[in-house]
Amino acid sequence: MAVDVDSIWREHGSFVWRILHHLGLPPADIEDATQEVFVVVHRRLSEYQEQDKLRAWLYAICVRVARDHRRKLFRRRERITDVPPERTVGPTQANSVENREALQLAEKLLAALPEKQRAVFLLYEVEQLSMPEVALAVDCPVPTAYARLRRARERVLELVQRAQLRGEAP
Amino acid sequence: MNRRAEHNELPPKRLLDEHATPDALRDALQALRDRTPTPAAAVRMREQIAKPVAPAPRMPGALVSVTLLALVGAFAWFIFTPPTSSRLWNAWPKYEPARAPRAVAPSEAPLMPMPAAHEAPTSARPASAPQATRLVELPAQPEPEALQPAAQPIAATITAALQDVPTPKRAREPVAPKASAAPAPALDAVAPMADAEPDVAVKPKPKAKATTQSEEAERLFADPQDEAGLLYRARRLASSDPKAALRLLVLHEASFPDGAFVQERDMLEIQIHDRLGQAATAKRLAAAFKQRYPDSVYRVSP
Repeated sequence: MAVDVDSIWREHGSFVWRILHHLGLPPADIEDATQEVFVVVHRRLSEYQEQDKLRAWLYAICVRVARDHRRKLFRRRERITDVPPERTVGPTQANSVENREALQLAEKLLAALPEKQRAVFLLYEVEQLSMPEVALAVDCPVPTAYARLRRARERVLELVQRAQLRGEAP
Repeated sequence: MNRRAEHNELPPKRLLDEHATPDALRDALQALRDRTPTPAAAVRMREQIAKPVAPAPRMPGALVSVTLLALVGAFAWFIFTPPTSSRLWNAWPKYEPARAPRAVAPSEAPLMPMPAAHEAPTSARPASAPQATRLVELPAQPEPEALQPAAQPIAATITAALQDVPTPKRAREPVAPKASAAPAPALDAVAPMADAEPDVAVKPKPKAKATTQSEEAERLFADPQDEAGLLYRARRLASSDPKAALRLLVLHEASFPDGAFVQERDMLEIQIHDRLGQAATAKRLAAAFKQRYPDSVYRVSP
């Protein structure tokens, strides 16, 4: 099956956008970073062979782009504009109280995880990748990915139970 | 997920599909999963991504290698070819020993004989001299006849002091008025002075082989900074050529009337006159010395 950039964007555009969000980029920079990811996809698509591991390949690109973007943040200066830039996150989503609380809890849980466990947890539980894809994306053996997922789950469940005991979570 | 499933690589059930997952965690994971860009942002990104991306210019590997080799070769040629290499070599700081005069043994004497003062510098050069001059690129030296040191009162004083043998009385005379009234001397007048000390020579530098005797004398005696060197040479000449040593002392007095070694100069003058057998002059000078320097360390008896 021939894969072009347009079809990748249609099927995995939101995935790329979310991954960049999970990787901790500021919301105002996610749009630019998404474009940079697809610029790389443009350039490297001819070299890409494993068609069934597309999301793992995209995740690896996202990690590199996010890393480069963080480096650029040190050199960038703020620019004063008359019109504030448009938000990339929908206002209805942010205004939903339940959704906001759930996102806050999710951010808190993810922040408590080590980086490698967080990547495996997000790719498997949130992005619904298969475990071989996860292992390929994070560049580790499959059993190692399983072990990271298990430890991440234990940690997350423990934190949720504590939050429930303190009344911070329903 | 248990360890058995982990080792068998059975995919565990996802938390969103587990019934035992707490509702709070399920909502949190679902909220993460439902995150999407706004429609406007999605449209903007779509438009940007649809733009054709110009491929980055890439040089073939062979072309890169050839270019690198050419650059390295050009650099090596620039560095090691004679004009650049000689310039670099000349620009490199060279070791120069201190200019302390010393006696030169006959075996250490310069191979090239020093030409006479009246000879042109180029006439006495051996066949290899022009080549050395071209490589070192010495600045053009004016002809000795063209030198007019009349504007230098020190040189005029030197010439006047060297024209005849100095006497103690003459050495005590003030120098400056005489220097101002002296006519412009010729450097040839310095030549006898230089001839008087054949056994004292400053070790010549390689590029100074072509300097004439008059230039050497001018360098030795017109150096206003070499007070100690002048006395040193006079002391060395005191036994072998006392008259030449006296000339040097006169030169020292003219150049450094208030120098740091005035007492040493006067003491040496007394010793030289005593060595020449001029006991009366030596005694007169010694009496003047005692009167002038009553606290001198050179006074042996009160």
